[in-house]
Amino acid sequence: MAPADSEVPYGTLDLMVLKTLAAMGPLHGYGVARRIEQVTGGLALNQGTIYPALLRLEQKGWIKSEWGTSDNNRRARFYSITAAGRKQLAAETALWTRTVSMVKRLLESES
Amino acid sequence: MTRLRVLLSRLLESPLRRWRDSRLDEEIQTHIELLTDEFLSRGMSPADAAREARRAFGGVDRTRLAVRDQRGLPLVDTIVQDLRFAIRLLHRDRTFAATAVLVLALGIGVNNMLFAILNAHTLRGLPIHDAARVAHISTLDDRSREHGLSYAEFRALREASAGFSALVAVTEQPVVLSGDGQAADRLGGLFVSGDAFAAVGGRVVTGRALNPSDERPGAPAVAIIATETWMTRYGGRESALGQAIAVNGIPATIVGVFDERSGFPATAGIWVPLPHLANLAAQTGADRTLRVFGRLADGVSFEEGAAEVDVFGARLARAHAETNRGVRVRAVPINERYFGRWNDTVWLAFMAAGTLVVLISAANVANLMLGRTSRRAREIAIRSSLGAGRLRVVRQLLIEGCVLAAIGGAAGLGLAAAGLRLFRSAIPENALPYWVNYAPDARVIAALVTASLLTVLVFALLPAVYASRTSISGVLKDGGRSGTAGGGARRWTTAFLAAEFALAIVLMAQVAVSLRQLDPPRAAELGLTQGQLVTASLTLAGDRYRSPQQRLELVRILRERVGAIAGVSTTSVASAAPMLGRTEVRIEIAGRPAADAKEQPTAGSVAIGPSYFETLGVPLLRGRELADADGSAAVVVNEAFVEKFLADGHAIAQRLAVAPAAGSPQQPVWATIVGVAPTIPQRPGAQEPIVYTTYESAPAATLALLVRMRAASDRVGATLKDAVYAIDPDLPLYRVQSMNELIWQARWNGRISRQMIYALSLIAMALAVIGLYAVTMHAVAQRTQEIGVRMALGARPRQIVALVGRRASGQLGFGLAAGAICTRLWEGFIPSGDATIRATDPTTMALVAATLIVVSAAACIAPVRRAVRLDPVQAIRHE
Repeated sequence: MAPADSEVPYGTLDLMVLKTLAAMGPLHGYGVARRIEQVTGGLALNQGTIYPALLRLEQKGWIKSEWGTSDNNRRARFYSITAAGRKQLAAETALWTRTVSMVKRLLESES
Repeated sequence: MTRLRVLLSRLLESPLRRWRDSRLDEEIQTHIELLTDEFLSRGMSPADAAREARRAFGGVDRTRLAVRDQRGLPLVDTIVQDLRFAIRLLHRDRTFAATAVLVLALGIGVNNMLFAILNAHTLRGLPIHDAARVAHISTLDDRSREHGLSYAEFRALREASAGFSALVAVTEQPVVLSGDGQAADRLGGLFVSGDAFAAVGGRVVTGRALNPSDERPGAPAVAIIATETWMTRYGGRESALGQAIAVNGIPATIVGVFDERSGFPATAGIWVPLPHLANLAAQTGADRTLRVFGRLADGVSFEEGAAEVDVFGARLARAHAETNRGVRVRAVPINERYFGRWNDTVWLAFMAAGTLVVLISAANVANLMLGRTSRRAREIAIRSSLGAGRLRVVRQLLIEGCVLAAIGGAAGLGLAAAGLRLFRSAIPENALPYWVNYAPDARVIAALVTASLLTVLVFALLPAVYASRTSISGVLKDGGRSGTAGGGARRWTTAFLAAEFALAIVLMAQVAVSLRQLDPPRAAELGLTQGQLVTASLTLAGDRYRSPQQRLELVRILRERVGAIAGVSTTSVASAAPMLGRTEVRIEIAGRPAADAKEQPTAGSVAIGPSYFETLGVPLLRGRELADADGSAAVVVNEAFVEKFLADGHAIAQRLAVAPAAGSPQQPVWATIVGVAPTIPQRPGAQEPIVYTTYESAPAATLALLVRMRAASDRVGATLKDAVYAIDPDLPLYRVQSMNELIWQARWNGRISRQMIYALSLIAMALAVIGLYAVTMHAVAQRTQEIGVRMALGARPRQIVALVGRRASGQLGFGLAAGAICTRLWEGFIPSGDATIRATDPTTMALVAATLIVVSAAACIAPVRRAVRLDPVQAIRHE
């Protein structure tokens, strides 16, 4: 099992989902979870937690969903990012980058 | 924006829940299968793969819950739950629900009806586009009496004004419509300045409205007619446009048909350009007969417009000191001028009455609810113990209340509509101006919703708070009998019931009085209403009827011709038909001069032709009728006159001087009383002294034609009109109606107030009796166990009836006593006029009390039956 410090940091799951959908195009829930685990490298994701996040983003109008067929021929719901979602992603990416660089500078000056 | 989206999609979730849930389940299913496939492909055994997949997913139920929490609005969800529960409960307890809805519908219905009347008379406004920007401009003289403007003043204002885009002058005057080959008719005429229709608006049915060019000197004379005139006179035919007519004898052409129930606050049968008004040019600055309206120009506020009018008035007063000293000109919003103020005492009383009725009905339902709440105490206690918060319990009861109030409100709206229809049908068509409209509008609906919510506050919130306070353990331990009204609540209930009965009794006493006063109609009225008596009006205007000789000649020919019509038994004329007014005269009786000229007594006066009383069907009490030959030497007086001025009863041969009321230089004329007539009212309800003089001695220009027929005929009107047409085609005979119709119309005011009292007292009685029913039902429910024990110990049904009846009759007794006291007080406050029967006399009171006792007893049958039919075994174990 992955150590506790590799759990999803609070409030970042939505951003990860948006980024994944922006990069990969339409995906079902499993695909999104799988992709996040792969890209982040060993993040301990309770894959079920992806569903509240997906619903949240859909309610905000940043992603949309429709029924489709998965690789193994199962009915699955495919999510894709909307124009509003891309705008939001750009805004949050910028904010996130700025925050990270600020925190980094702060931490480096302290040491 | 995003927030709103989230709220909307969450709102949508509630009804879609079931469908969404299955969608989520399917998604989770697919996800886990995909995971399993993945683990299988890594070489795990199927069992291991399935277990690993579940672990990696991390809890299906938790996911479901997390998603569900995020979906929907928990508040909306639970409210929908509560709503369903409430409807189910009310459905189960149908007697309760039906009674509560009935009571609420009565209260809310009466309230809404009163509000609709208030609205129609004060708030509604004229059906004019943007009426707030239309001003009514008038003059106030040095004693602050309101007048119109003179033509000169109107023209000066129109020239000087910058703040008004249009200024309109209007004056009403009856006109004679003839010249189209039909019998002449007299209609309400409206003389209007040219741009009037453009400024005020209104609906042109066909043809065109008047416009400013019709006003120019030399323009062809035109007129437009009302829809009613179009229908009755020209059969609604298009060919009426272009029809040549004569308006007051002046030729004109009809160019349009106008909807008379739109536009101007005036009712008319025909509209004519203002310059056609006779003598307009000759009017002086002091002839202030024009009503003036102005529409404000764009960008001008009402205050600015009013200020401009004010300044104009001040300038006039300086420039024309001889006619305008102390005269101000004032502009007020047109709606303010034509509608009453809602905060007038009458309307405040209306609103107070409306609120009172709603509160009473709500308090009644509160009583019903209270009885039910204590029966439901156990259910509520269980809900509380299972974790329902106090708020949730209160909310549940409130939602039940809202459901009841919504149904009651809807039924109330129906009741109010029915009541208003009844109310309107009792008013003659033309007694109210067209813009008084009782149909519900947005304001009436808002008032309905407000009243319904108010009832919820009273009948649901209070019992709900009370119920939620009940202690859980107490109720559960007590086996459900706790949570009943204590002594305090019972006293409150009794007081409330007493108040309800008091109100009902005060109203019922008035009804009883008015029913007992319906004594047989007086002989005089019997004559008027028996057989076929037709009245009609004539106005002898114009050059042909200027001299008294000309008028008398016409009346002579008229009586001759009308008398010759088949089916007519007698005919006569008068200056005014019964119910249609009288002139006031000063009188002096020989040998009893007044001490001071100012204190000279006055009486009503009617000028009559020969065989007047015979035509009316009212025989004289003494003496003889007036004849043409009497001239001014003889008069007839009525009984009221004898009672008031000739107390010794000797009327015949007394000498009497009659002079016009104040201000006329005319000398009194001495005459001899030759007859005494019964008192025939000249105004609705008035029993006043009247002197009848001969028409011969002073032929008035307006007169009533009275015709007694041998048999009923619906052709009378047309036949009479034809007879007049044959004599003079330009002389209109108008207001042709039977005496019965005339009396019905003249009395509408009293009739409506009587009907209102009947209806209100019926409702008050219903509310009081339902209140008693509710309380008794409640008492039986509470004492079920006790009654069971008594029956098990051998109590007879009679004793059970006595047990239940004792409290009910006690409460009824209290109510009757309170009612008697209140009626007494009411009588002290409200003078009963000349009523011979008092509301507090023993017969009236006994009548009212007997009615209430019978109805109350009937209402108590159901609770008593329930008590008597209890099965002792079950009743003892009743929880």
